[in-house]
Amino acid sequence: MAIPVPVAAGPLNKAGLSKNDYKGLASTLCAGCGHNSIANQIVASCYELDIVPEKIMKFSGIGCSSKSPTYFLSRSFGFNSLHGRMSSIATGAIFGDVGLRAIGVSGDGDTASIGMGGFKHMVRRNVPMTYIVENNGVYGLTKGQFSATAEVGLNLKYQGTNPYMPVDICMEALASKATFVARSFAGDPKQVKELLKAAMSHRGIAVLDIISPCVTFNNQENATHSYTWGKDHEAPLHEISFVPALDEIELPDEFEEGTIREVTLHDGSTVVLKKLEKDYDPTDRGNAFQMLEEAERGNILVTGLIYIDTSRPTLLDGFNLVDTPLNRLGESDLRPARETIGKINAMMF
Amino acid sequence: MLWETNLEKTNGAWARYKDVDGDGIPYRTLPGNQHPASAWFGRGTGHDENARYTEDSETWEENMSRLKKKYDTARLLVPPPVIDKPAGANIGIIAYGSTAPAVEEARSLLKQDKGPKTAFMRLRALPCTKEVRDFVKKYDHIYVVEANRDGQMKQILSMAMPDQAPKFRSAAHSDGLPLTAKWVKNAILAQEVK
Repeated sequence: MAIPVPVAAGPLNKAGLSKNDYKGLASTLCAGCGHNSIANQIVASCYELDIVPEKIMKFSGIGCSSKSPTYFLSRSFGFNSLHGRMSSIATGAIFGDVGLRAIGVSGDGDTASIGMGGFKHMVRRNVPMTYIVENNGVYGLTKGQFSATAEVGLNLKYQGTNPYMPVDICMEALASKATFVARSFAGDPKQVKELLKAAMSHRGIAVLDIISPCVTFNNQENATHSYTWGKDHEAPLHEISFVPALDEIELPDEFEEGTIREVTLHDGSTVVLKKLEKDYDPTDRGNAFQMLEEAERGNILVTGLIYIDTSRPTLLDGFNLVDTPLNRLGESDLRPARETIGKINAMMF
Repeated sequence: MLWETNLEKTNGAWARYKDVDGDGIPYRTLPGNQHPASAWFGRGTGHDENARYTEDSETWEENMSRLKKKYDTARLLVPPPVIDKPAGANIGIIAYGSTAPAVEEARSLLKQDKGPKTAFMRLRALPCTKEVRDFVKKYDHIYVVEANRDGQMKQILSMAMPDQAPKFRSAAHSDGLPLTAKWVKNAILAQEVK
């Protein structure tokens, strides 16, 4: 391992880095895979947020989605963990140095099947992490079996017809009291990027369920995880823009009162939501449930910021952690004095 | 462990799975290290010294050889066994964990009944250290006492030192309860009279 050789590539951000400093290795996923598009938006988001790559940790479980952390942020520490165990491994690692940001990339199998328990508990604990589910409704890595998010009645070439109801990742996140829930579509990279920036600036768990078509095993026109269906049925809740903390919010010329909602995040940045056909309040949890229910009944791919709560404490807030990162504490910092141990023993026996 | 100051001295030159000092245990860095050459990607698939994905067979074999070396290094670092070898004993007993007190008591019962004089080794770790091999070599035969249906510790020890394998005799029992001293004594005596 060596110091990355700087490559002149476009303008530098406020961290003094070019977009190349945020890239990863070349993808080995199928050409056209939605996951590649999401990886590109992670690169763009981190570059635009001026985050130093060494200040990010990236995690994944197992699956096509979980291969993708290799394809972005080569200068960030990464861990490709066990199937469905990203949540527990990330929770531990986050405690190691609470000054770092965590990005996790999981899939519909890794999250909604084998990892469901860990996912729900990570969400209810409000672990500060951007949790991306690259959701394609199919197990691509094992050649195309139905996943837990596949719609009932889905027909796949070698699998027949799916008899089971799908798990809705956003519903599950909301039911577990997530503080940031969003849904997007890999075919809408602009929205993916704005949501990613908002998620990475949110203090708490940010669940992004991104419909990410599998072009090899589940991209039939009528399948709800396909490009065609997504493009024909996407209904954004709002037009979302992320405004960094130090930038002034510039409202569009056609601004009309009541058409803009602003949500201020912990770091001072703002999410600006421009009303589209209907007004939508993403701070109302009951409303979010109702909207998701109606979207399912109406066969609509609703995208955007579904729910946000900036007031809940994170898991880390409940611990009286020292300023020095735990992974830098040495034996002399951790070993209690002999008298202290004596006092503790005296209290116990 | 390498932190920023260590990497500055080498100008960032290091490799996550490179055996620098011959013990099979490479250096590592941890998240939070701000040196631009510090990061690595942990994965379960094949990787080279720089933690890069590879399916190269030579690289795979080199890494497996390094892991063997690491395992051998561990032999020098794990807790050694606790050994009692009284003069005149020609039978050895090996046990571990919560079975050890039952063995101690069984040895006492054997002494009381004027049974065979035994030496005892309480195993505390694997891989086996030199002391384990020396103990096994010293005695005519060894009873491996364990609360286990199949006598798996006897199997492990037989694999670790195949040249000594004929010496091992299994005293294994699994009924959901801790082994008793009486059972241990009888298990040994039953095999002594054969």
